[in-house]
Amino acid sequence: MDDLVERLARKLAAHTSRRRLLGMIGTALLGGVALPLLPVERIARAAEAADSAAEPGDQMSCDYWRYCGFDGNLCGCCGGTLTECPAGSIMSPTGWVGTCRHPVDGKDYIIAYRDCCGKEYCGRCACHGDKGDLPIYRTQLDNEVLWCFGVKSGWAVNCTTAVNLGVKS
Amino acid sequence: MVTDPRRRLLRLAPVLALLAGPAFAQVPSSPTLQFPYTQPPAEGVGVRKMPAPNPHWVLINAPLYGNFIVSQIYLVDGDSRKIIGMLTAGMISTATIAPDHSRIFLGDTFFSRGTRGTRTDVITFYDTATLNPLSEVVIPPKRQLAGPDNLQLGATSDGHLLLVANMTPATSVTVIDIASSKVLGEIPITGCAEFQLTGKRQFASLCGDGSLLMVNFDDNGKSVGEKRSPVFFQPEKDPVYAAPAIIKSENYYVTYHGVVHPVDMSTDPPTPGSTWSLTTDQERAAGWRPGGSQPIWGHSSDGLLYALMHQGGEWTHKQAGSEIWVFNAKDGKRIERLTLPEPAAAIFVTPDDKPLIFAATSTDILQIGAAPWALQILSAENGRYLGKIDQMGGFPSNMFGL
Repeated sequence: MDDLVERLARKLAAHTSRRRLLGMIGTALLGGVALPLLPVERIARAAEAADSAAEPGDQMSCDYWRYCGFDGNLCGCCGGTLTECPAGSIMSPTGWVGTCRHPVDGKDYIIAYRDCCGKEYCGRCACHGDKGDLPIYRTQLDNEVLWCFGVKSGWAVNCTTAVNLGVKS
Repeated sequence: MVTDPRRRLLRLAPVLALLAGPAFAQVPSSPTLQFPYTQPPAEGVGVRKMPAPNPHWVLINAPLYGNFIVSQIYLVDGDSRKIIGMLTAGMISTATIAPDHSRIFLGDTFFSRGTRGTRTDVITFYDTATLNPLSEVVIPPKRQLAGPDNLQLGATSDGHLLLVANMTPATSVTVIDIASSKVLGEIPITGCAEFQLTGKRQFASLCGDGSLLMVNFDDNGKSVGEKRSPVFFQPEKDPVYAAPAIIKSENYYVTYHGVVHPVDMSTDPPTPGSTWSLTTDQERAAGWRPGGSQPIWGHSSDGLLYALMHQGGEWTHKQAGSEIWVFNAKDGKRIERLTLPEPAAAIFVTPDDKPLIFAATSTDILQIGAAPWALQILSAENGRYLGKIDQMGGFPSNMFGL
């Protein structure tokens, strides 16, 4: 399993889309058992990327619509952006997901929350959305996991990004 | 006789020191201490000895102690309402105590250069009589690093084996022989997470489909048989908190909305019972629901279930509770409703017949400058508030006793 995650980290992050990646992680997580655990792959098949230019709101505020299932420090307050890690940290190839409603088009979007690992927590703009947060037995929806699987050199979480995967089908 | 200039200089050293002025002026003068300082005063100096364990002890796991890489385990005596001592642990640590209370075990994760470098996971054995580390066992570096609860590390009731929850994110349990300090094996718990020891060689793990996996294992740390309970809750509609209130051999799983699912753990596989609710229709309409990092606890001999309750909307399952509601677990009848001085995120009730309630307040640990938390202590016999220990560090994710 470790090897699988490493391979995901090294190769797939560069050559695979996030939605495919999350689908594969889900498969790995299930370990071949047919449990209704991960809605991401099913959702991602029908997903269409949202137009981020049309997103209203303050990305530096916990009220921003993508943060409904967020848990951590906003990377935009810590040297990164909504979707980018601060320099020197490591973007985890894995993460948890949330379903957040777009304030303008009213559609539900799948948001992938991906931790930036390897440095201590930045301590600014701590936000705790918790919408859709499930306990550890539904790992991919648990926002209290250190989502640094696949990161080898350090699991402290510097801050967290919120990537829009597309409309929930 | 010609005097060696260096020896002359040495003889003059005390005089030169006096002349040096300001550098020495900061040394506090004391009528009892004389330079050179060789012995401490005989009274009141040294390291405190540990008292004998008592049932009013509580161990509090407080990770994120100003950073990710250090966790604090507080050991508190509820009678004196004082901290007895601390264990300083690694990243998102987990802790448990041996059945005979002689050892405290910590599941630690360290990186060789603090926040970076090579990861090493160890189980550290501490002596309860001194709070000193005695030894360690290096384990596969896959220990679960997630919101700590009491289901990540456990010693079997005979004190021979230690189990650790893993997540890579594939889930498994590592089994360790305590006497030989050897890793015996690893048992996969695919689709499930964490474990609760339910017998000398048996554990249960809660699964993502809403069932329980019961695993029997042998002295060599190998699974010798697994069974599944029926699905008894729906994670998509109303998920249960992972850690149940345990009352004798009955587990009481509580959902985000306050529905209680009793499960008889004495059968293999476990048998789900009839559900009941923490709230009436009216209370539900008023928004009452459980919340916190450790929102429920069970007291076995009294048969009581304690729940931290707050008024909030959907997805407020981590919100601290302003009240403690106490229920007779068998019939679901509420027998007490206590208002806390400050809302609490975690609750623990001592297992003895004069029980104390510990209720830890919450804090936003990821925010620099967040207020420290406090440990409130109440009598479970009459609900009286006895006091608190304030200025506590980290976040009180989970607590347990003897």
